[in-house]
Amino acid sequence: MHRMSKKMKNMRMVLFMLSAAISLNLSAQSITLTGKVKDKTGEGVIGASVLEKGTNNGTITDMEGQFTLKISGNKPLTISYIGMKSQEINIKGKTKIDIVLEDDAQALDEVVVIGYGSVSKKDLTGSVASVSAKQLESIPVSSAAEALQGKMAGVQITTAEGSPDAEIKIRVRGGGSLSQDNSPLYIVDGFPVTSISDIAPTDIQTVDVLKDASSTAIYGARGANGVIIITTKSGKQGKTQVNFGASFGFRKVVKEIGVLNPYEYAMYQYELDQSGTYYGSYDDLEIYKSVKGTDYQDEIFGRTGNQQSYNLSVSGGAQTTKYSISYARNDEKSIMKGSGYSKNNINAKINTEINNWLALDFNARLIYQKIDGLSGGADNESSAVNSLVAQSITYRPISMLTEDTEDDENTTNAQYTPLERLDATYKKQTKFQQSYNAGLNWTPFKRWKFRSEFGYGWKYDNTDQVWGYQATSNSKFGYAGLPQAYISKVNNKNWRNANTLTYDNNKLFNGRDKLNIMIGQELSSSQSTKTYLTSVNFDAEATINEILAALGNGTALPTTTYIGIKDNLLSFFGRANYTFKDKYLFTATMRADGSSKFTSNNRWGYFPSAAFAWRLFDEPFMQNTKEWLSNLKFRLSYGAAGNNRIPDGSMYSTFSVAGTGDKSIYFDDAAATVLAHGDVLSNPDLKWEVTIARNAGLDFGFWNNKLSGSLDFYWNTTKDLLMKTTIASASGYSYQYKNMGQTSNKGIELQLDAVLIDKKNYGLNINFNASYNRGNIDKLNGSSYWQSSKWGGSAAAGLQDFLVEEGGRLGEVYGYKTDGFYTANDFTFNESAGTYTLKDGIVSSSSLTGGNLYPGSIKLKADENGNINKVRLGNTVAPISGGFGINGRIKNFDFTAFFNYSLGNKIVNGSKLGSSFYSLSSKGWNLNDNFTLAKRYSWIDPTNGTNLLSSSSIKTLGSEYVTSRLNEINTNATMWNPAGSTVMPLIDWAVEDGSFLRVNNVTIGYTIPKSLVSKLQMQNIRIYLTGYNLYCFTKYSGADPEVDSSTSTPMTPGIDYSAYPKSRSFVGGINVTF
Amino acid sequence: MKKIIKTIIIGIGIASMLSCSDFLEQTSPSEVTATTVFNSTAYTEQALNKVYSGLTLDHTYGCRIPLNFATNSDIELIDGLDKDGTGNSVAINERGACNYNPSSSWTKLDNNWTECFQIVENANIVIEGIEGSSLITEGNSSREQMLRYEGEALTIRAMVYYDMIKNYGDIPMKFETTKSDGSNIYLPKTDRDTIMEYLITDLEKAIDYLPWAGESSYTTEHATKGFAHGLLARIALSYAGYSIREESKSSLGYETLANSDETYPTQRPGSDKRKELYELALTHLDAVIASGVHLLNPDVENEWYLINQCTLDQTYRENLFEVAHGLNFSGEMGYTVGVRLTGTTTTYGYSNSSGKVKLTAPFFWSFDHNDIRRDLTCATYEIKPGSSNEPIETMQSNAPFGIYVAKWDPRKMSDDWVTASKAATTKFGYGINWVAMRYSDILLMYAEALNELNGADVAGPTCGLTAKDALLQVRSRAFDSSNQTEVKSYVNSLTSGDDFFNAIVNERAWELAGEAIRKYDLIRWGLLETKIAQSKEDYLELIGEAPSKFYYKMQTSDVNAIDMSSICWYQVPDEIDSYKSTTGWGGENPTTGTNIAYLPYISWGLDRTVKNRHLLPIGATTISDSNGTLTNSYGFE
Repeated sequence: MHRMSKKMKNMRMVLFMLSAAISLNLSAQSITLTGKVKDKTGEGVIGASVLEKGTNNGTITDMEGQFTLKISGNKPLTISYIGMKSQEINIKGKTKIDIVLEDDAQALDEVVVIGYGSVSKKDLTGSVASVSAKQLESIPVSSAAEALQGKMAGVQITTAEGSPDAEIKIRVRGGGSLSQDNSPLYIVDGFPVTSISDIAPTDIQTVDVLKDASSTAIYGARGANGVIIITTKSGKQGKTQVNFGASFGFRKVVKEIGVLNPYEYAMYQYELDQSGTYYGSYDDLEIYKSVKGTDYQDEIFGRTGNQQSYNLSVSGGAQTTKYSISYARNDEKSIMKGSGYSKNNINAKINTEINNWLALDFNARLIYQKIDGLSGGADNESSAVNSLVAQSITYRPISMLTEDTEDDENTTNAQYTPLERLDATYKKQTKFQQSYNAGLNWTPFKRWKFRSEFGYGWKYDNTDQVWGYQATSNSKFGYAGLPQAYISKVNNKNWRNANTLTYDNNKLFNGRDKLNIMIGQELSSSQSTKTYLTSVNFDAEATINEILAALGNGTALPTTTYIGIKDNLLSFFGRANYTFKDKYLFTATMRADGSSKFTSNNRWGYFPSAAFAWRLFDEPFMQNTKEWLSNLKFRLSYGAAGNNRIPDGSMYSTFSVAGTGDKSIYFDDAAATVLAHGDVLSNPDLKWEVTIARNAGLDFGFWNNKLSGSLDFYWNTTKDLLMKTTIASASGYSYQYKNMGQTSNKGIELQLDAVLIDKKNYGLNINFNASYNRGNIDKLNGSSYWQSSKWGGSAAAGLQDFLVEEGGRLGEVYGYKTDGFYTANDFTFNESAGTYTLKDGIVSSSSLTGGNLYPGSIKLKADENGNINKVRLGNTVAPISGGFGINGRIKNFDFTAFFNYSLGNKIVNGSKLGSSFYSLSSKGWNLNDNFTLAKRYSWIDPTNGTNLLSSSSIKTLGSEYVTSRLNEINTNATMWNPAGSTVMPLIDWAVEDGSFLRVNNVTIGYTIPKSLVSKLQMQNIRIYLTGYNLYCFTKYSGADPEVDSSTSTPMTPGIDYSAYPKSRSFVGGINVTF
Repeated sequence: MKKIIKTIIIGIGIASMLSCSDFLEQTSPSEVTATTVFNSTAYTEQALNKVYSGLTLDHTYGCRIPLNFATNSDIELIDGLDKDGTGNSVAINERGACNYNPSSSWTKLDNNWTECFQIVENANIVIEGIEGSSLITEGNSSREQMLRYEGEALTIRAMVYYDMIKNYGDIPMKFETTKSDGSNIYLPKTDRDTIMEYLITDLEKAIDYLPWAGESSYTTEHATKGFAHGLLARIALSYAGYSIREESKSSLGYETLANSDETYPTQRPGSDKRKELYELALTHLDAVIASGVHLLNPDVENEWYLINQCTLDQTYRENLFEVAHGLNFSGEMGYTVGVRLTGTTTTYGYSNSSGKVKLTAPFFWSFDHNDIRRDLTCATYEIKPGSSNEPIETMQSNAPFGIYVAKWDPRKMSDDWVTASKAATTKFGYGINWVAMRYSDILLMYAEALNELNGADVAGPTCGLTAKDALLQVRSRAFDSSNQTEVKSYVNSLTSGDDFFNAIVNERAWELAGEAIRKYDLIRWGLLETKIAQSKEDYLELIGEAPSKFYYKMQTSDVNAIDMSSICWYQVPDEIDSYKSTTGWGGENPTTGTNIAYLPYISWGLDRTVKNRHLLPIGATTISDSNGTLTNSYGFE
């Protein structure tokens, strides 16, 4: 189960020797030898084994690398340490020696966790990417996922929003499913969890990502999207070790969207309405030049956030019992007003050997977190257009002279500023999660091991929300705009039991071959219960605190409860590893899963895999390459993994009591109890989605592994996709889950590590990874499906902007090409009627942009036949992504710089598009700064404020004058006038290149010299300073190219609209080891 | 060792055997299956409530169907006039749609379609569930109750289907629950007449199952026998009437309306079929009248007062069916239609109502001077906040197309509404029921059908009323006792056939204005274009007759309230000094007047691309989700 650290493994060996040494002390010894074992940098090697050859006499080195051993003096000493080359030394009468151990360049005996067991990296047949604690510890991060970003080839980690509870999207090799969650399976200390964002990064020992079928197939049903295995730190034998870390930092928003200043804004408003009712007459608009206005982006996201984190861990143990207990606390005041979080983690591990054939381990994790405030644009019950984030950009910077009372769509929501709405919104999420895992290892016979695990998890997730009257447009409950409160309580309980039996023989045929066979069985079950409390109709002036304090003051809606369906899984699995002559490695796995999500006919899925690896390097014919080659292994694997990630109960139609958010029927003016079915049509024929994964890889090392890495090629095919399909609304349902279509992902991954310099006082390493992935939709019932991202609510909806089609890819974005704007020359002016019409032969875009055409209206590109066609504008899924890092040290200073990148994708800049047409930037709404007076087409004569397009202007000034004057004042215009189009389809102007290279973090650390530290009775003190998100090289004009704010459907990725802005932060901290 | 392995294997085996059978069969305790639901009357009722609850949504009977889709007619129109054909009359919203320039990208069309079909599916579930229930076996004590539920579901389904046909024409026909294998998900359009045949059969069955209002504790907030009869008649008359067709049905004997589109002709069934349908309608209308369960409230003002008060009339049961909206929850009656409140006032609270549905001056002008319904229907004023936010009734200044529908009036609304409105900070559900059918509609349809079949003076089969008797019942209620002689002589002077028919056309306008009936009447009569054109001519005539100033007084008891009886509509008063005045309709310049400029763009899309295109397009998303089985006709994109 657990990765055995080098040290642990070593200690086990030493344990035995230690006891032997004690017993041997009884016999007479002639020499007392003292010495120090150092690595080549001069650091003492802790826990190295020192053994008198051919005897059981030995010891291990202490914290300084020193040892004392009584020896007879006539036998050589063997000094060994895992990961380093062993040395044999003849003592020849010396009483004091210093030994320098060389690193074992191959370092291939590192142990990798592969699911229900572990294997030395040398014997691995699959494609596994790993990150170790060492790579994580130098940089403080707030989440595990953040720590992994860009570090592993083929593992793409995207932080779509900047909010404290933002979901971090992890994709291993692209993900096969089109409409479903493609996140990998997360296993923490053997326990499947839904998210790894709540694990304290300081607790992590290692992260292993299983990428190909050879390794994922053992997780069968759930392994199709890759498996991320996190092993937390365990105790080690020896002196109790205490680690303490603290850090403190600041964060600040990186970029705001440019908008018109108050004067420019007032000028635009004048363009919409020349009556002067709202901002005064034309001649008076000059005064707005001196008005500062309100910058709502700054009001809401402008503050300097801060973060602090503390962690404390104590670990240690005796021969038979080891323990580790840690506590971590993180606090953050986020950049958005009122948002922030605090997180407390406790992780305790204990393992004990009852006797030499029975061992017990126990692990408890407790997480308590509180998240305050809104989560950005997605956090809106109505639509993104209405969200605070979207409106912080477009809300009028200066108030109107006369506030409008006209009833129009959305105006009721616009009456409060985003700041008023924010202040009137309360949201607090409280989550408590505990999981316990106990394991029993029983070694009934040599080479046989039986392990039984039992895990139990319980969590609750409470969300308290209050909307003051200014914020009720955010709420899904109507109720006359009076304050409302909504409390949701979600409880989940889950357990699992896994039993495995392993036979491990590494001495087969006199040590020529190795065999490892594991069979097992697992049961898991998870169930959620939900309770929703709603109270509405509070007094308009009631404060949030008053509401929270006395929910009874409102009108209670019926309490809703829901006891979920148990998500049960029953599995049988087995794996055999065979190593032939230490050069040819074979792995075969088989897993059968039964899931309660399918009907009995389709319940069982079978997932076999086979893999082969060839350690070319060890072949005799490779002898003469040893000069420069230090490792070469070829890997090949093929196998299947499944996916059942659909909601429970998708195969049956059932009825449940409708929630309070839905309208009822009000017989006799009271809401009736309603029994309803969902909007998803059931499908009893649902079956497993299966991914066939093929992988070919090469692990290599050159020049004593100064340069090492791996190269992998893969081709994954996902069949019987479980798709949430939109069905004809005449069915009475909106969706149905179906097994439909097939996708594939092909890709290349390269991972390189280079040790450039490695000297005592300085060193420099670089690492680099790149992955290329290309998805393809192989089959889709022979048809294509238009998808609507609905990024901007109804004004942009109905316009299908993404195409999912057979032979195509996910993220294909379609829209229209722009062709500038119409000018006065395109129109015929009728002086007597005071009207103007588009000249014959000029193609009109009005069917797409809505309403009427004006000189200055956006013009869409037409083909030679005068048709305006929807064309492909690009793809929003990045084919190439990766990262690279540099780390080095000079004496006691260390530094790291880490970069991540993504290439070749487009982003739909909804923030820009959202204020480029009338419906979303009409009276009272601001424009983005692409539409300044200097840039946009205008029909206002700047000299006197005359609207040249008004019918009276045309009548009195005449056609000729109007045309020439319009041309004159718009000589330098480069942009259309947003008021000239009512609605806006997706256009090429808003589809931008999303490639980026981010300076993800840079750290400088200083380790206080040992001599000084030891005087303080400490082992190690390091102080550091880290900067995050320091710079992003990109052509993208929006706030941040790493964005994906469309949450309604996964079929329309790459939309940037009303996302919580990202921040830049600087953190300083200290790590102390006692 | 063997022993141990054995033990382990056996152990694993036992663990899995125990679990295998039940472990993977999981259901939620909070969910029940259809079998459970429809073998329990309590659960069945709750499932039926789901059918009803679909009616309270904004996109169904909260606003869209009764208030947005039902204009424009010759007497009703949407607010927001357009003087050059570039603004409201072509806007992609209800304003464009009501002026017959709808766009398939108006997303509310998709919403309406989706929500209506959800009601249909929910009704299908209930109907099939009950038909498969063990509770309906002969002799079961719950049989009658279950069949009543089925009758309700059949009736609601028919109402929704008919209202969709009214607005979209031919639509998919789906009277069975959606099958999970997808076989009936992608259905093409079915001819509306075929669907209506089906609805008629359904309603005949429902009539058998349903109780009359007042029986078995059924109120008119549920579908009852009377409404099923009335709805059947309404559908039959509509079936017999004109509508624009996907393609010509001349070969089936259909008659084409003069001056109709060549590709998409406006047609109605041939005379034999029409006769059959009129007879069918008559039978069912006659049954309602004969039952005596539904009557006219003798006080027409009280009828509307009760509606505004959210009080069910259980005495006369003039309203055959009402969609039960809930205060604070649903319903825009009074908000989108009704006397307008233009701001927060001390008396009515927040209530910035929109009054989007408007009536026209020619319609006002058409009323008999003594018709009580004139002022009960037409509000030529709005309620504005005064300097200290006191509500002031303010006469409109020459707004011939901006008259509010006075049937809904905050001054008549309940104390609960006032309390809610005072507390509110935004738009809220007014809770006023949508009245789907009134008894006066029954009487007038009866008169119409009878006149068509047997003339105005022949009594009906069982109720004994002649067409004239029925018309007289409706009309006489609208006049004081002092004017009854004139009313009688008016009715008696009508001759059977066209003369009486025209009287029905007029009476239905006076009686049912603002109630989402007029537009569809005109469509079935084939009069939509001519009547709309006529109303514009009537306006031009009116401005020559009406005073250029209206003189009026405020009430002595309440200086902020207009004394309605004092308004001099038709002439200038003698003692002009004691009156306040406002610009009247007669002040309009017949060539350069502002309102004159609006005229061409009122309902201007009706003949713009396709003649008499009175239908709405199917929404763009609905079409794209249909996998190619649905396309728009009538030249819509």
